[in-house]
Amino acid sequence: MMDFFSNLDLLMLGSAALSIMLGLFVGMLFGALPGLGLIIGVTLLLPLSYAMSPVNSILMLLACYQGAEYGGSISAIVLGIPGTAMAAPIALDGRQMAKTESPGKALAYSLYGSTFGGIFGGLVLIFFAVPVARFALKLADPEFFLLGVVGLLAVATFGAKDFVKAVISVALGLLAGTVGLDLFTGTSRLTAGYFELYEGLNLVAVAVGLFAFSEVFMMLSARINKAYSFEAHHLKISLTLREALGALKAMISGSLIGSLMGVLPGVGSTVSCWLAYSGAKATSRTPEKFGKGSGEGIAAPDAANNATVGGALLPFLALGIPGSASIAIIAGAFIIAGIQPGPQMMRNNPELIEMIFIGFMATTVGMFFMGKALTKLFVRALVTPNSFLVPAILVSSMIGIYSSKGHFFDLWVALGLGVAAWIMRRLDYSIAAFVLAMVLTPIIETSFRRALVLSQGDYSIFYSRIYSQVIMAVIVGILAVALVKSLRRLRNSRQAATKGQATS
Amino acid sequence: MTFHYKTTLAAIALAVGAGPLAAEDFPSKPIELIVPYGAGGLTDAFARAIARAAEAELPNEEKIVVVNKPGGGATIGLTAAVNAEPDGHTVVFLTASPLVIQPLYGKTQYTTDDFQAISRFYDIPSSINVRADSEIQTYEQWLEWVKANPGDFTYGTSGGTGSGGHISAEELAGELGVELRHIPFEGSAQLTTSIMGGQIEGTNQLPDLHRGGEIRPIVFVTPTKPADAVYDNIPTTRDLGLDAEVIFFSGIVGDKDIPAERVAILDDAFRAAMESPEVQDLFTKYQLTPDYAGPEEFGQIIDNAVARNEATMKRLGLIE
Repeated sequence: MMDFFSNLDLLMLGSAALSIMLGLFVGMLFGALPGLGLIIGVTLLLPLSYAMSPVNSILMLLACYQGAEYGGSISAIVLGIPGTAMAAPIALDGRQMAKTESPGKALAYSLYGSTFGGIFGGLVLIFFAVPVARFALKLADPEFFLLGVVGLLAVATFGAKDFVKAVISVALGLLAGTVGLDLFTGTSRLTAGYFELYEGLNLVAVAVGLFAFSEVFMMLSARINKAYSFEAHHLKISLTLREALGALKAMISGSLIGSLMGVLPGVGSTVSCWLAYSGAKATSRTPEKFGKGSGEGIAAPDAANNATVGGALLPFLALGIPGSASIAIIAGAFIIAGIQPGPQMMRNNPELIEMIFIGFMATTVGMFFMGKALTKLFVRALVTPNSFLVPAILVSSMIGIYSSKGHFFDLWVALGLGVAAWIMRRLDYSIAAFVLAMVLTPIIETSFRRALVLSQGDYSIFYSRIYSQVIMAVIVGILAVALVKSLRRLRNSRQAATKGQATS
Repeated sequence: MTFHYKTTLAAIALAVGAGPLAAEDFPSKPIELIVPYGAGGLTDAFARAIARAAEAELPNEEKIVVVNKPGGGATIGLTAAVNAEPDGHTVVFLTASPLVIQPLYGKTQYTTDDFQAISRFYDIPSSINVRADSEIQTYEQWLEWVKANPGDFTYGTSGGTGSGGHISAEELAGELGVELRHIPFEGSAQLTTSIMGGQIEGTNQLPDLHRGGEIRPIVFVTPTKPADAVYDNIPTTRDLGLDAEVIFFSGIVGDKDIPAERVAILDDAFRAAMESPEVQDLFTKYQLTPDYAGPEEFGQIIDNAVARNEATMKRLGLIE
């Protein structure tokens, strides 16, 4: 470490800081604009990275990743439009608090959570990269399947108004998740002959349709010139120490879930946010506030979101396995710079690893300050009349969908889903449950089937392994707690009813 | 007087500008190089590097614009290429699967014959691998093991059932008369995790021993190997005299109706581009061996691949 600091010079530090700031800015901006997101931001920065030094280009892309994870929460809170399907839980409480209480405070919970999660994920990455990556290798399909099921149970914590309708939403989501080529037989399912559906529904089109378009339709069917008005101090992005400490437990649990889940390839980034939300609700002292604007309900999924970045980077740096789609793109920049991540890099290029680690921590700190500065501008969206917001959202959404894959087809998918989601929302079906089920289906289904292919049809593979037993115990625990709570509620309401009769 | 002077200048400029245009009017506008994958991957990186280098070699100083058209197992990009005007201004940078496997299933809007080969740049090596700490260390040991334990050797592929990895491994199994068990995966991250974690016995993929990875190749099913010296002692199926071989080529093809002289202009530019320092640098970084083939030779490779794939896919019951 001492060597590292003695080798530092001001110019290098300056250019690294500039790279990080550029990455953060692009990431936050693209994350916050509906439809655009991390992948498009990174793709835009890639050509630039060819002209930069390896470390700077890597730091810029990592900063973009961090920034986009936080940026997605801004639109979730301010507009009720989560940037990605995975960030949907943040909209649940974020939007409520922004509308009814204080948008500044909602964004502050999100920013504090994100920063905490980012630093936490970074620390896990720095100190436990190798052991955690080794441990993660031991988890296999039976566990991924069970984790997917745990994720699905999170639906119960969304506080749906109508339970049957929530279950129907889940069923529809599971169905939508099976669209595409079946990995095991090579045949296409529910594609109606459209090649655009062979790789499944485009997640960008889905997120835009379900969240952005349906929100736009809601705005149009409400008063078009409606704008919220707040006193100036409610637009300030800050928390009191007491408020921050109140959400500390949620941030810690969210970060823990996020950084550990992020390590699992393909699974982690999908479920971490949802698990963090339900985890925070289960351990909260005020679970009844969830869904009505709870600070913990914002901070926990946001911490998980950003902790996932460090988690996802971990198997990549330690073992050379890019665990998420975003890391896979960043991996391209590593190779172009002539760096092959993996055990060899950990051994042969410790100084490079150190630079990445230090730079990674710098991105999280930078995110906090840039977040404070930039978010002020985004809050203005809340006090802007819908007649101005609607066209802006539509333009940004449509550009985002088209540039994600270059298919006009996806625009129609988004429009269709947008109309469907708008109808579902008016009838109290749960969009969050639908999208959760949809993104979990590939995990649940392929892990289930692959586990059975491997065990040659023997179901004991799901309970004979120690890791799956642990997850099974968690599932049973969740169900037991839920049962006890609902029984207690039933008894309380009965007592209340009998008391009511007695007094009357 | 001034007016006269200006018109003369303009006339000269026009004549100079029109000169080469009359001699050869191709390319007359930017060339669209379709990449049927998303931005950021290996194929995309090569396509962009070759496009940049080939621009300098093209007549008329035209640009080459890379357009990513991912989706449908890379078939959407190829469909766009056959639907474009066959004037040589739209070509596609592809890998083997969408050209010599996907059309055989009969669902794509194009057939292999709708395309003609232009230039092949490199092949991606692939091998049957085991974990580095496996008791199986050599090809002989592996063969003995799979013969003694039919159906017990599980191998994963990143493309799932009916993908190039699946078909090439089964072609080898058929040639050896052994039974292997295929486990489909989606993407190489989960595949690599699974073999390292011991969930599966082996894989058919590009090994990573040269960057300190823990996946040991037993036999290469491709005639090419990564350049690194750690692979010198690993045999290929061709070394062993086995009639089982796959070529995962990467190159540029275009519509079959593009005139031959335009194909030649494009091929010349792409071949020259391969020598550029930027492209050579990329070959070194990805540990790939440059292996140029022109329209004729590349066309042969494509025809051979289709014949082989068809036979194996029929044997596996994937197609009729």
